[in-house]
Amino acid sequence: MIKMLILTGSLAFITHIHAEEKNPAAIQLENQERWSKLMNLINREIQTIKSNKYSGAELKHRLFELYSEKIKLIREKETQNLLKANAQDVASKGKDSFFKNSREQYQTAQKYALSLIPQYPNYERTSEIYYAMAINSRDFGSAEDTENFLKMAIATSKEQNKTMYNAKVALAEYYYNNKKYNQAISYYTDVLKNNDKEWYGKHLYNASWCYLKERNFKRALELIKESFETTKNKKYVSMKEQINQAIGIFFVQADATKEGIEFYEKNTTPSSPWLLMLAASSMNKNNFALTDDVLKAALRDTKSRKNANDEMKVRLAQLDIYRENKKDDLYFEVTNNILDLFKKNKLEKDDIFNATNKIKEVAGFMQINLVKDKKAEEVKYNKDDFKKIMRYFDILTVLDKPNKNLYRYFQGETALSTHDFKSALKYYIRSVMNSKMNKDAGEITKKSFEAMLSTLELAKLEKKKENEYTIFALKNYLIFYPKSEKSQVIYQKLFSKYFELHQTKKAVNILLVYKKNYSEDEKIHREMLTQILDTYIEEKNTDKLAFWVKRIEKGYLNYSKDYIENSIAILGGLLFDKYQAMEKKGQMKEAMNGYESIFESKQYPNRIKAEAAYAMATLHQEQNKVKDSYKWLVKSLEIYDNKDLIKITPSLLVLAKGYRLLQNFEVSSELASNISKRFCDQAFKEKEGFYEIVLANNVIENTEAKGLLSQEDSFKSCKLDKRFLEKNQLDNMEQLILSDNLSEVIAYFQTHTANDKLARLVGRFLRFKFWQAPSKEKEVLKKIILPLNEKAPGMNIGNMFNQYENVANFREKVLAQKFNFTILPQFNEEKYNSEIEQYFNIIQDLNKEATLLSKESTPEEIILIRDVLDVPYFALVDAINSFIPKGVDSKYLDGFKTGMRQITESLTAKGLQVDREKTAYLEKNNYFFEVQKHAKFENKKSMLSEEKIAERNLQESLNFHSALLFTNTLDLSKARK
Amino acid sequence: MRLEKMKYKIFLLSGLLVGCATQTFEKKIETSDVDLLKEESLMRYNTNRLETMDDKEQDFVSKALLACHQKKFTKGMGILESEMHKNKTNAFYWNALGTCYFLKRDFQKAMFYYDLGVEALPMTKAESHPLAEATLVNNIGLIQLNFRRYNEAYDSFNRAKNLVPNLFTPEFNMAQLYMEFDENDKALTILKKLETKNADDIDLLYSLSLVYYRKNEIDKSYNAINRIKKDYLNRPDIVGLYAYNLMKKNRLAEAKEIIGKRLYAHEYDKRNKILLEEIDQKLKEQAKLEKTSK
Repeated sequence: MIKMLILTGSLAFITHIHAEEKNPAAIQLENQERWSKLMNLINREIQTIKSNKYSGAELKHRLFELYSEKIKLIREKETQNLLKANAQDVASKGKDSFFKNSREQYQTAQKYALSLIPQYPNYERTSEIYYAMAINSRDFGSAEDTENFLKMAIATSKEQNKTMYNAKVALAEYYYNNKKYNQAISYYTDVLKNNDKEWYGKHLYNASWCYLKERNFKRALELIKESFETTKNKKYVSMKEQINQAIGIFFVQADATKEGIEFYEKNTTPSSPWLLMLAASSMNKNNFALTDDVLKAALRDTKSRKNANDEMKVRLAQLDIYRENKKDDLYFEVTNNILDLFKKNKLEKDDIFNATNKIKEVAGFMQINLVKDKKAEEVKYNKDDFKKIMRYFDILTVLDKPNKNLYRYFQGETALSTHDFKSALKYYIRSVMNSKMNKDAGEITKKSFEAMLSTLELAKLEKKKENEYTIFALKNYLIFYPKSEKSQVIYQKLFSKYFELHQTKKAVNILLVYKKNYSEDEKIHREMLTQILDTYIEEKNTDKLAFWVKRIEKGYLNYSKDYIENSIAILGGLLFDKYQAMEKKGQMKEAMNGYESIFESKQYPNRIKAEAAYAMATLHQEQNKVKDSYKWLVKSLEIYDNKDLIKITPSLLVLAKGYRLLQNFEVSSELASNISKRFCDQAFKEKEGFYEIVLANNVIENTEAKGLLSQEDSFKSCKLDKRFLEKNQLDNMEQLILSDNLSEVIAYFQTHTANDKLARLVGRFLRFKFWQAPSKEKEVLKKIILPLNEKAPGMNIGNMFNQYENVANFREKVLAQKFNFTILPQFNEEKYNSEIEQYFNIIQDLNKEATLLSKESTPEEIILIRDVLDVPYFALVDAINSFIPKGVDSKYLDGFKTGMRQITESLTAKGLQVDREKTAYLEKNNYFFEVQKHAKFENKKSMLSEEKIAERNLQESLNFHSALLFTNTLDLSKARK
Repeated sequence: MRLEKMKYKIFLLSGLLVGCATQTFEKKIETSDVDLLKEESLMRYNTNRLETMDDKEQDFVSKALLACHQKKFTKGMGILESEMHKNKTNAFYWNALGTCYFLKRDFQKAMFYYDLGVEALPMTKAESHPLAEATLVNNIGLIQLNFRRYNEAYDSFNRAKNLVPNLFTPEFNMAQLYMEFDENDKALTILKKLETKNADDIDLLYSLSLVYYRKNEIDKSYNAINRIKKDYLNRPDIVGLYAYNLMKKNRLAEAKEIIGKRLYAHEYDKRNKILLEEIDQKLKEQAKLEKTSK
């Protein structure tokens, strides 16, 4: 009654467990609760039985059963603990340590049962106790115990009872499991006598196996077929599945394969899986023909059912079997069948995978063996095999698309092994193309590239084709492997190839990628770009050249300064060549548009732009447009780098001079001053030229010392040569002197008195001015000149004043000389002659004095001396002519006059001769007009009569003439017209 | 007493003379028949003649010169500027530019451009070379004259004359320079020679009259000035000498009338006043004499 309760409870509980689908944690919790409840129930029942002092064999048998139940529960718990335990614990403690309790409980139960049997020798259910002990020992103890306890159970059983049957079944299975088939057969023989049991089919099945193992194939086939018959009866537990699986072996072993085919075709649907198993079994007996029949049957089945996946399985089996039996043609045929099947159906992945592997294996094997003697010059191989290999790889490319590149590569390798280089190349290319599509940069891709590159050299292709393939290989290699151990060399090769083919743009792109990936190869990059630039130069591709020059100017690839400079110069040359040619053709507008476009463009380096603006400036100047020219020049100068600008200073100097020619001194000076100051601290050939222009323009425009000195000051720090500066001062002074501006001459000279040459020049000018000046102004000049001469003795005009004074005194003396004859009531001839003689002597003395004075005099002074020397002669002539002797008769008077006429004529002739000599001297010394007219005429009037002086004064006051007003320019001329 | 007064006047006048150098009076000649230099110099062309010529002239150098002589300097210099680069080695070009600046009284620049003309001479065609050089040298002489470098000016005119002997202008200029320095005989030699080329030139006749006046050859002086076309006799400079000659011919009333009626350029005002005073004095003396003789 108690037992019933426990089982009912347990079943209800288990049912409940299976009724719901719960999460593992909940299930675990519930299992624990169940376990606890069962354990409690068992323990309570054990306790109940133990506490019953009067229990007999039945209750004790029950207690043994409870102990046995408890073993299971404990083992269950222990198993869970083992699963939960960490691996280290299990390893260190050993698995057995986890089952200690169950083992103890097993020992307790078995010990209790063994103690129980002697207590009740007549107990009628002893066989059950042995049987239970056998089961315990089977599950928790040793095989030996099991066999013994089962034998004891049989021995203690009453005939044909349930325990005996169960014990024989258990013992048969025990022997079966322990491969003691003969002993098993003896027990199965007994067991099979009872065909009422539901497990009858199973026992037949097991028994058939025992016969098979004992190589009694006929009996084995009979029993298994008998077992198969039980499957048709619902009374028996069906063993159909196991039988179908196993019976093929039985047919084959019993040499009844064809019957086996029929069996499966008759009893199974679909039959192909079973037939395949049959085929496998059949092959074990190495009977290809039969096996092939089995496979054909299987194929028929799949085809009749139009089941592609099943057919595929048959095909796979065919592959195995055909290969094993070296049926190459059949194998080849099946691979094609598989391809068709694949193309038309969606097959199971595993099958495709298997097929792929199988075909790959065969193709690979064939490929290796295609060429036997690989070293032989003439390649020998089987062409059919070659075709098959290629076909296999083609099939594989379809079956195994992800590895298509691999199979193409293999095809390439195959072709290569036969020295069919062109085909090999094509396959390598296809491999790479496939890799590209799949973005596969794996080892095969790399191998394909390498194979391609090495094959290219062997293929001896037409040049165009070779280039095409080479570029394909190199380019794609770099796409896949921008950085690999071979990439650096590949970049260089591809660059060279592009370059060789004049594909400059592509060469540049390769250079850029190369640089990106190997920035450390700068030297090589420079060499590459240099080649590119050389090409652009050759092609006169100024746009491209400008782009790169601008980059390298900013430091790209660290080109040397010289190279950059040179490149800019070449670019400039190329750009300007075009427009210079236009200039030569007279297409000025077009040329100027060109230069302007260069200037406006952002792509050119500053130097080029500066040069363009400069070209505009020169062109405008050539077109006589100063303002436009200078506007462009300013733009040019703004962006010109000093180091470049200084190189064109000769041209700038010409430009500065050109502005003067175009009448714009201001712009000329501005430019010259700008350049002079910009390069103030540097030495360059034209430095003095610019300075010269600034100063010369200044003096031409202003003729002021102040401006000149201010300009000179502003260039003081420019380290100009002293001798040059002194010469320049001379030039400036000459301009000031030319303008006849004494005050400016002196003002300028005051600052440069140390310049000896200048002093001499100024000295000469002041001497000139002194002589030019009227006598009353001479004093003023003297006051200016003397201190200046003291400061600058080089002027050498200090003595001028003393000698001039002597000359002036002499002139005064000469002009003051009066010739008055004594008028007596009675003319005294002796006295008169004495006076004439005296006057002649005076004139003679004056001449002698003049001669002496002249020896110490300058030409100007000599002129002044000679200028008055004729005066006494004419004055004496006047005096003689105007003297009329008194107290003489007319005859005497006539004779006197005749005698005097001879004297006056002689004196006049002498006077005129002196005058001519003076004129000749003036002309000879080229001082004809230098001695100023004021000096010439003053004082001379004093010797004239009062009337003549009055007349002369009137004439002078009525000065009707100024050469300035009456001279004329030469503009037109008969000759020019 | 009169002498002292005269000296005072001379002092005043010497100051004025300097001023004369910087002023011009209208000494333009209206018709070519009385212009000795009509084919050489535009200096004495009046506006009408210049404009007429401008209409006919095609050559840009001449056009520029015509503009500058009309004081249209911007125009004249502009014409030259626009032709500069083609004419860098054209001596006549630089001469024209120099002359424009000369006429503008910017003598420094004028000299600068004349010098460029001289530099261009070696590149001038042989047949044009003497004329180009003579032209430049004559005009440089004018600048030298302005800067009171008389000797150099003389040399320039002389060289121009020697280079192209058939030119009148350099000799005419030389004559003026001689006259400036009272070298009247030398001046006369040149003037007489030029008189054979055009006996009616206004300034030539005036110069002749002046030289004769200075040489105290009043009849010749009068004869020369009397040959001047009537229209030009009232020119401020001529009128003074003419009146003086009349005075010396004792045609005092005529002298007084002609000098009293004219409106004169400022620079000759005082001079003519002196002359008027002298004439008045002589008239008084004449009246006194007449009174005494009666």
